[in-house]
Amino acid sequence: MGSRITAAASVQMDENMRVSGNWRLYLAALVAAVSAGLSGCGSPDARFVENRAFAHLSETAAKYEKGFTRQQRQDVDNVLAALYGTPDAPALPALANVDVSKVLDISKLKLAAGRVGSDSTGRPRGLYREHCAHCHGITGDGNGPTASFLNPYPRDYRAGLFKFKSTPIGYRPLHDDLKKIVVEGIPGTAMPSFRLLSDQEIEALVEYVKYLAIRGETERQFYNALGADITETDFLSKANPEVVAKELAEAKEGKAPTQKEIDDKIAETNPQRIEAIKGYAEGVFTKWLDAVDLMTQPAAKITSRNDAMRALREELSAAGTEEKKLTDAFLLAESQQRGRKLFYGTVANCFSCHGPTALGDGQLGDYDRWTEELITKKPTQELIDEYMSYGMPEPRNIRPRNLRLGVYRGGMRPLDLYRRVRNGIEGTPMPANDKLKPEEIWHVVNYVQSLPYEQISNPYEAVPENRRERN
Amino acid sequence: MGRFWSLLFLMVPIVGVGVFVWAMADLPGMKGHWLPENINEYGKVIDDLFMFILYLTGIIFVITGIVLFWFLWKYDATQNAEPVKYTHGSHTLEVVWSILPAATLLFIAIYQMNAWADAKMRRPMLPGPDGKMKTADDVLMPPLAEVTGRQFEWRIRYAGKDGVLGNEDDVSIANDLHVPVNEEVVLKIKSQDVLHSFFLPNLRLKQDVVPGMKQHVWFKANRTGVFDIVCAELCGWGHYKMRGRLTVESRDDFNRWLDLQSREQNRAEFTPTTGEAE
Repeated sequence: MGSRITAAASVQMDENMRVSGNWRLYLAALVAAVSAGLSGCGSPDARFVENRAFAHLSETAAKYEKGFTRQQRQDVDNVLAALYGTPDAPALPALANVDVSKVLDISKLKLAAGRVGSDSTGRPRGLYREHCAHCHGITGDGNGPTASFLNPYPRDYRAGLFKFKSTPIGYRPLHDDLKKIVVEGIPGTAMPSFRLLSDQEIEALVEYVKYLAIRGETERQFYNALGADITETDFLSKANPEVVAKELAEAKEGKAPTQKEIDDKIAETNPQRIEAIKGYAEGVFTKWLDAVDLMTQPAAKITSRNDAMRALREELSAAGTEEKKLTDAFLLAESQQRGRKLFYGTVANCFSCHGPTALGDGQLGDYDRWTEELITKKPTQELIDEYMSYGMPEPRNIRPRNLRLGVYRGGMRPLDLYRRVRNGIEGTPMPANDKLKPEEIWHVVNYVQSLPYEQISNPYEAVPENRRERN
Repeated sequence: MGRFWSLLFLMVPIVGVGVFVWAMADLPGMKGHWLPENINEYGKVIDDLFMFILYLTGIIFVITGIVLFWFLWKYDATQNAEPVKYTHGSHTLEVVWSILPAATLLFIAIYQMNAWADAKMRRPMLPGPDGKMKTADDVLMPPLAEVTGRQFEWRIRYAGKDGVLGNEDDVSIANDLHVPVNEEVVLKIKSQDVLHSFFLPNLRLKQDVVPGMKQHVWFKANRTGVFDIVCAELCGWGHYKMRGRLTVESRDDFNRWLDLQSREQNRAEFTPTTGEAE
């Protein structure tokens, strides 16, 4: 009896197993087919995306109600591609009046372009996409997949504006300024340090960032030009050999045109218009050269912190303070005291934004310049929604730095702080200050540097460690 | 298929052991796949524990694999017409295979206790005011540096010349940890955002970094050189970026390096190369 039931059960079991076995086989075949299909296709080539929000600003500024047509925007894209290439094959425009190679090194930036991988000699490729693109985006628009989670948002390179640099507001940063940011990161933001990359790799990344900034700014110039002079925009399309080739092919009903025909056709286009287009790009490159020119001029007079302290000593000595009282510690305390007065004074006016307690709570309602540019200082919700529909990230207020944390985004060297106070911070409400004398700026720097260590800041656990505490 | 499956399962212990032997012998194709060199004075006990458990489980693994093979081979359906027989089982056998692993586990538990305490609880001490070690007034060795994990980097803050963290002479630098060789080194580790894990493979040291927790790790490196710091806890999209560099160097080199960083951090004058136009 028992054995019969067992036998029947085992037959049933066999049956089940056969069915489920078949089912599994099909599933396995399906998985194999899908994965084979996926690995075969690969992802499409990366493309630069257009600066739709800025295009909208230009068309609004031009009171061009219908907006730029798809064709007009496509023209801008085509000209940009002709001048600057694609993410996989970047190129630099040949410009008559500017030596492009003085600003960008194409051989270096190619190392950072393209897909992630390495070439036959093992040299890495696609460094930008490996390290930067997931926040800063393929186009450098500061709108990569992880960007919306970050506060502050990653930099949108396309305005050509960078915060932490040695140059004054209005000037482009130096190559070394950008390099410092890549190497050291920006504490207090999501930008990490890339110190362990080789110098060659960091150079490549910096070149690529400059390239994206220049390309992006050229795009803005094009949109402004398009808005300013809407009737002439057809010239934009004729300057691009690829477009010309396509048009010729269409005219000849699909037969590929020869190179000579393309060249002739391009030569027919209005040379002045091409000059004008190249002129915009030249203007963008020139700004980067101007910054280098400015910073390599011999300085009339340089005041270091030591100079400032020496001047303070002489001043106090002349005012009759005893020599033996003038120790370094005494001078520093005196300098900090003066810095404090300036901090709360009307000339430096630091407290109005950084707050009476320097906690960075003086003003909380401002926007940075690239946000203000689109939605004005006091935007309506409608305006915000309008630009967000064109790809602007949700606007966030810019907060003045809490000076009691000891975290300095642009670097913690006294030199860096000096530059922040004197030059201001590009694109933010932090203004340049040309009314303070260099000595006074050093006093402010000394005072600001002392803030994190004041008792009230309580920066660190000053509490003694419990001896019995585990580990 | 017949006895194909039994032979296939026989390959599991053979290939498994083969791969391990291949990696341990550091032969071509598997170079650098075995444990990295241990440079921590306290690391040997960790390695010993690891190898002990590896050999123990390895032997059991091989035995189990062979028994599995033998059963598959012997009771293959195509070779056996006999119907299945059921038995109640063996009480003795069950007692044996319960007590043996329990005893083994207990042995490992006791064997590792000291290693765990040394690695996680007995932080190195310094003599207290009486100048003698192992007295009641001994003090905990202060950290050489504080390592803060954050997405996605290690921010390192050295206590500086005075050896006290949290004052003006601290030196901050990202991803670059320098420590003196042949000295007890205590590090304070913390996280600024999410869970990270501070992992020094060559020092056999790994500690989860938990936001809000104050933790210390210690080691004594006995070889100079440059080694890896990695994050061993998936902490976000850029987890792979959280690489750091550990440089073990002589006390003199360390002091010199720290002094250089300190001077750079306190730079308060323009140099001709920065081209500062006033």
